[in-house]
Amino acid sequence: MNKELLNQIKEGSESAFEAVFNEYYESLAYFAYKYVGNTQAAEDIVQDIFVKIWANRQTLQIEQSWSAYLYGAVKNACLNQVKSQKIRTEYAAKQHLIIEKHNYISNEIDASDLSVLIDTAVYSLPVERQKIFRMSREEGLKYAEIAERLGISIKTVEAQMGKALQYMRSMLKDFLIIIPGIFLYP
Amino acid sequence: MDHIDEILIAKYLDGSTSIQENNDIELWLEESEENRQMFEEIKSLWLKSRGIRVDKTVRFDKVAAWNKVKPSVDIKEQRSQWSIWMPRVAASLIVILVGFIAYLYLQENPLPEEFIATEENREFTLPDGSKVSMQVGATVKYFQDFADYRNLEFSGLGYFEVVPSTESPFTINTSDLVIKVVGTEFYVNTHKEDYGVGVTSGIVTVQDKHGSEMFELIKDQMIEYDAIGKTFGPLKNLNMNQLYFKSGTLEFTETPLSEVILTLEESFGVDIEYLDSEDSPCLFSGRFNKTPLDDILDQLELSLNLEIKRDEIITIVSSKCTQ
Repeated sequence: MNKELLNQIKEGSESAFEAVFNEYYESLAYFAYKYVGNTQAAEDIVQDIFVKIWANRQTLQIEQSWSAYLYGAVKNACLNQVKSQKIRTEYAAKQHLIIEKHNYISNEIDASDLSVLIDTAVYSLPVERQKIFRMSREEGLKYAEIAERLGISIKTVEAQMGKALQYMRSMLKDFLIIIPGIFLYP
Repeated sequence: MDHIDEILIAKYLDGSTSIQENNDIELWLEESEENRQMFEEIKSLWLKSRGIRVDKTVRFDKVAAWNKVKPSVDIKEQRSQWSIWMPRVAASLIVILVGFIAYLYLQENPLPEEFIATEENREFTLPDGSKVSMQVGATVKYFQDFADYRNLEFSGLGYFEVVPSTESPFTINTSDLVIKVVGTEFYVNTHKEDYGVGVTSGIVTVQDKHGSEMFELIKDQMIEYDAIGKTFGPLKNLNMNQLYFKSGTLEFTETPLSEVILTLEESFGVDIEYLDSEDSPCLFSGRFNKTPLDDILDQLELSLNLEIKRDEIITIVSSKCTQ
């Protein structure tokens, strides 16, 4: 799947490029927002990456998955961005990530990105599924309580929770190759 | 123990499983390292998502964003040939997409992604890289998790080129049929007169939602479905004319005039008045490639000695065929 879309984009297929854009844009923008703390800056970063991908499509090399490639590129751009003085203040105030604590900042996705990735994965879930998932994980409610509050069956809650975890696992699987043991990181 | 999946594991983590289910899971965990790994991954996600704080008020306008990214696509690539009609298409796309987004925001329930070929035939690439060529009026709908499940809803006439994946079959749902493929090329038509599926490469399984009838179609086969009687017709040789919207080619070999007319109506979206005379069936042979309807009608008049009136409605006035 991955290779197919890449080849189509290399051949100049706009619809393949649009498909990748549609698939990832909102999640990437949210992911960037978590780093830079500002929606406009986040959107600019992600749009810029897509413009560059198209401009350089003929020489585009993606060894890993689209996910790993795009999230890596976004993280890289965000870190460059937050280095600039203007955003640094806002960023520090938001305390999404305290750069100063680290001696070495990796531009690649690594285990320290896991909580942001999980957050992004939950954000990317369909609305109803997200609501149920958050009631379980944010509010700590049992399935039976969620079912009662929403007036739906327990079976539906179970299925939605299962599907949410399945989606999140498949999204994060793409990062397993570059961060072995991501799931085991403390 | 095949029934252990994310749903049961999530239920286990919630502490809502029965004693029997707990035993099943424990046995399943003993079975293989792979099972244990899957369990650990889900458990880890479960634990790490405890206390997440998703900023649900943050929203991004994908359409506006695409419009900012897209111009760089057009200018660099296809300015010369696109420049004339591109603004019109872009404008209509914006209207469609803005409408769609507005619709999205007005609804509380999760909505599928929906693409409609509103003004012209359109080729569309799905998130898994598969392509669908849609005749004007066709609609494709899928949920956000399409890339995982490859399941979509379709109506109208479309030609699918599915990227092969043995681990994830590709499923198309119409109002009456479930069509499953692994990786193949075929068309689906849900228009009443021509409801059916035809295969140009690979294998396609077609099942009736209302009954249990199921067919397996191979290359160059098609099957028609009667949406009123809820029954399938016999398996037939593929009629390539169904793909006119994509290929631009129509071919008739000793085809009865009544069928030629049905094909022209479907291909060009016109109505043609014609009274079939049973005692003198007119048979027509001919091949047209990207030929305007008028020229095809001229050819019919000449070959079959017909008179065709072309007012608002096209009428075949006399059909005393000479062949």
